[in-house]
Amino acid sequence: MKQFKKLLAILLCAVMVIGLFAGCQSKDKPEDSSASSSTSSTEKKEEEKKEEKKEEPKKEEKKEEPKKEEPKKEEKKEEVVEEKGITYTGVSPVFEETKVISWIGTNGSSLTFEWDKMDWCHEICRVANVELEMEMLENTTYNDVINPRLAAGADLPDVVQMPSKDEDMKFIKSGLFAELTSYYDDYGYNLAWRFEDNPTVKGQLTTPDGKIFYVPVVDMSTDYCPAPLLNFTWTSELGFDVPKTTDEYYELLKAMKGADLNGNGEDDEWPLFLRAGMETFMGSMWGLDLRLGYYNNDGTVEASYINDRYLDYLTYMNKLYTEGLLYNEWSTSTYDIQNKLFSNNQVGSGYHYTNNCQSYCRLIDGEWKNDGSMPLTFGAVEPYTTAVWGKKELAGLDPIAGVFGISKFCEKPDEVFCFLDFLYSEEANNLLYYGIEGVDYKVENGRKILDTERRSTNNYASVAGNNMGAFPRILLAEHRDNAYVPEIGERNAAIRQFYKIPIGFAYALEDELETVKTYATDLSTYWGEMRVAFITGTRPLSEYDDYVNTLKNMHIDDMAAVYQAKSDRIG
Amino acid sequence: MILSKKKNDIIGSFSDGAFYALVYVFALVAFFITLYPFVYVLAVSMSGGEAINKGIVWLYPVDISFEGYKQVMFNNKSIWLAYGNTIYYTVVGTVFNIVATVIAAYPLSRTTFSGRRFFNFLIAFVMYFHGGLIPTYLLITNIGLYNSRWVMIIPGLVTSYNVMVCRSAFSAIPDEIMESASIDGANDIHILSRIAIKLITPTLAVITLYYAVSHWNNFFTALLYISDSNLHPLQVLLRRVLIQASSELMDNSTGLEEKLIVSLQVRYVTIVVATLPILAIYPFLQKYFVKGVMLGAVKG
Amino acid sequence: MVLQKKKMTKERFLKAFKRDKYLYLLFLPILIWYIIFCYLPMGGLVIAFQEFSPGLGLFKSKFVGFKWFIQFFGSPFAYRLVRNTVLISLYSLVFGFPVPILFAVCVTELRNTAIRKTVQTVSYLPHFISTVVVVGMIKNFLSMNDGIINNFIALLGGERINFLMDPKYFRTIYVASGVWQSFGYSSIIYIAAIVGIDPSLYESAKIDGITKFKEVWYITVPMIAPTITILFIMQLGRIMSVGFEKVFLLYSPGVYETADVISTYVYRKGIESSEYGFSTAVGLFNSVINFLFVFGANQVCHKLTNTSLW
Repeated sequence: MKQFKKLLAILLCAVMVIGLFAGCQSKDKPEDSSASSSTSSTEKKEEEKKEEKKEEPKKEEKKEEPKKEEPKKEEKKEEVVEEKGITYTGVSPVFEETKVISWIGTNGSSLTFEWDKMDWCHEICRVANVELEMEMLENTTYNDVINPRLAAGADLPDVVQMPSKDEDMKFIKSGLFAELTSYYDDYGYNLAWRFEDNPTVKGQLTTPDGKIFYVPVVDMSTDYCPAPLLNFTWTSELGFDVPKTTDEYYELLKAMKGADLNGNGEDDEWPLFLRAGMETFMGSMWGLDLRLGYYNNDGTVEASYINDRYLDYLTYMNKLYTEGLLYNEWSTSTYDIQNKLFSNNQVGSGYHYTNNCQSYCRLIDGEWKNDGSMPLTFGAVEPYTTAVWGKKELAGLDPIAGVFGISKFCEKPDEVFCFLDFLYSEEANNLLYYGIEGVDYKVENGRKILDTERRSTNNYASVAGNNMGAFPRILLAEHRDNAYVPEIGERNAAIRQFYKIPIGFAYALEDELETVKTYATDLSTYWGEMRVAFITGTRPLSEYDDYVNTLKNMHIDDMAAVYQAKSDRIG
Repeated sequence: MILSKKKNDIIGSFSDGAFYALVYVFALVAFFITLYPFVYVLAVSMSGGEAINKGIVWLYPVDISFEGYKQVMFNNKSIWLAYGNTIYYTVVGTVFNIVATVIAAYPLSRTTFSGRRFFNFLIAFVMYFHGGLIPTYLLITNIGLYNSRWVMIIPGLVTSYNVMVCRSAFSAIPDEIMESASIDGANDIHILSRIAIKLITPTLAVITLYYAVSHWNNFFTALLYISDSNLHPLQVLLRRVLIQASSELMDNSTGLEEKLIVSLQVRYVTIVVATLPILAIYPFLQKYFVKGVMLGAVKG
Repeated sequence: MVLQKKKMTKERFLKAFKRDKYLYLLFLPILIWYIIFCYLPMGGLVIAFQEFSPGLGLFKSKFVGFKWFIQFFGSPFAYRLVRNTVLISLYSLVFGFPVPILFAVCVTELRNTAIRKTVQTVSYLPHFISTVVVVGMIKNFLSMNDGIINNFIALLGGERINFLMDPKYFRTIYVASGVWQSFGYSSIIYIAAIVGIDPSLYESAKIDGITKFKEVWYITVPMIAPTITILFIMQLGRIMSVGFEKVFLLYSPGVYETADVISTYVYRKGIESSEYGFSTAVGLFNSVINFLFVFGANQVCHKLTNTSLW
């Protein structure tokens, strides 16, 4: 009996081992199996979609316009056709025959994520002659979905919106994404002229060995960054001037507290409202970059979270919190809480992207019109100064806001690249930011006049796909200037000089990678939770020294050295 | 002699009185603690927006209003789609679970089944040791279950614990019944499908509920393996609405301002809409269910 | 002699196989399922020793030995994660385990059938509510400004408490809501066990004039002891595997200090930061400890009560 058991055990082990190998073999060559499975699944989808599609061609027929024939196009066409069959020259249509591209991305806005309803984006695809198989995911869960899919390395769509900028080159090294260097040269018509104005961008995208793997989202409207915002109505009601220093600001906040400025008879005003994470932007007033964690102070990179000024920042913020001036649930607050507070007129000041003020004004007063006839009741002001830093400074943003990759499962990466380049064209840009000409805006004397009425109804612009996050694109100041009341732009212009660009995104060198991989996330987890703990007082500030020592033990100085080197490289 | 017995009785009855008092108090406390959150959610879901914001709703609806219900139930299809998906996963998944559990448990319960100990170990082992998140993820995506309805059913086909419960139910069937059946010439499949399965119906009821509940609650599988929102179960939608405070279930036809004021209410309405049907059918299920558990226990 | 023995083994094997062929047939699909979905991923654990790269796959990725384990134990989070994982389960066990037993005893002693049925029915309800809804309820109830708990505290004149942002409340919230959700449902099995006790035992006890307290202590408890023991082992085995979902849904960076457990850390590292090797290594460490726990518990249990899991 015993022997029999042994035999059985051996047999089963064998079965398991064979099974294991069988399973692993399929993993061993993901290229073949997954590629074929992905194509078969797309074929299926196509078949399924064919029925649905019946309606769409009709639309296209109706909308079909005389194609703009560019002389340039004709010339290049002949050369290119012979070689690769690509007729793209930087203008629509990108393809002669409708091209199906599969795509995964997130729209980046918390309000809408229904791809079907985004008319503006569909219009872009129509003029480009592209049919997108869009997998549009909800913003908050995007990383949860895309990261494991990248880990599995199987069944990726043609275009993938990356969960990060891949600073440690993990995905580049995984070989999951096509190298785009030559495509940039051959087909990057629009990318080329867009990058001309901003030469650093291309440098930032290039790996140390001179290759490019991604198409970026470039945000050149860096002056629409977070800045101090103030409720002007309340400030003048209290007889205060716009504060110049953080001390004056503190006095103002104290005056706002309990003054029943919204006149509802209840002590429900919040002098300072922040959404989770917004407190990090305030660090710039102390000369700290609390988002990246490292700050370039005249050529020397400092780790913000162990800087002495950071203790001052924490002391100040903790004071605001304990005295009930800072919104008590800020670290867990969400959009709906923010909107609720604003619509009840409970907010005295904030610190946020300056263009948000338009919606705040509308929330505070339903009668407020965004046609420029009414002054802002809630708007951006110059940064306050602190005793420890003295300078007026605001935290700017890195121009590279995100990246898109073309997966290795894509059969024609060059063709797909053409479409990505097209998204950088003037034509696609106008559709993405202003909508459809004649419907969403008019052109008068070369200026675009937006239909503000239409824009503000039912959140129309965001439904239609304004600045849709799942597309690579360039965002310029004019796009925003045009979309908001002039005063927003004016206030921006006034504080533009204070923006300080953070240490830019750049790929790490081989020897730096190890440091980044090993320490970066643990560091940011730790300082992030400690920041909340110190501000809310769940950890006393007397523990600050221990905290600094912990960060040092976690190799924060090594990381600072990496950023120093990077910063020197970008120049 | 008689006296002392009486004394005992008195002490006994006094002590028993205290015992019952304690029992009733405890039961009552348990009753209210369990029920109150539901009552509160229901009350808020039906109250007026102003009353909610003032925080004066405690036990019953104030300024009864069904605005929230209107928004959640009629202005949005996604909740119903998610509902349908969850019901699908629960029903189909549970059927698969039960069949698989029975055919796993029955052989393991037969003392004559050679290799029984080894197989028992095999299924017990995975209760406490598993491949972990990343390897499992790699496996599931590589065998093509990503974005498929089957991913909600196949990877969770069997739970070792339930196999064990089922196994002991089979083991508890008196040997004579089995023996007489096999003498009559019935093979194991016949014995299982004609006799054994009927004898363990109470246990099966319990297991069905275990499985159904876990299917109903399952959100992580969907979060990881289903990105197509048309296949999302209710739980994923609920996570967005309740925890990430997504405003997707709110009315898009009214202005931004109005719709957000009652966001708390919309969340509570969503809770009600998502749980009420189960709570409604539950008491009926529960009757059979408890009976089943009792029967199983008595027989065992 | 040897030959004979071999022959006999073979015969026996064939005989056994013939006799059990239907059992094998029944069990085969399940066996295959177990191999694919439970044992194959264990093969994938090799990632824990690799610099795993999705493009290269399991076989071509570079081996790095125990690098990830060393990195984990060198990190300041290792102690905290283990501590949180153990404490959350331990508290759940200490406070959550006795309640269903107590409740089962109470319920079975309720004389009034209507009351008993109502109490029972209501007590199972929370189990039907998904973790997502429960956490949604917790978050809304405990909200500092709108939450009913804080409204109540304010009504009594107290200071509003920031439950969700203060690490010191996390475990209490987790454990209390866990007990709320599960005590009724967990009690079912005990109720079943109690109802299954031979009534003649109670009858003879009654003749002896034993009080109800003693009756419970000397008859009910010993009779359901085996059930208690088995369930206790099950629980003990899970001491290193806190329910991931609830922590994941409930926590926020502000409360990582007490809330972050191994499974959520593995998730963040593996899924959110794509550090596959590292996160698999941490997961493996968790699994191994977990296994040792239950193995030990099972041995103890086997010696004490002669019941065991396998």
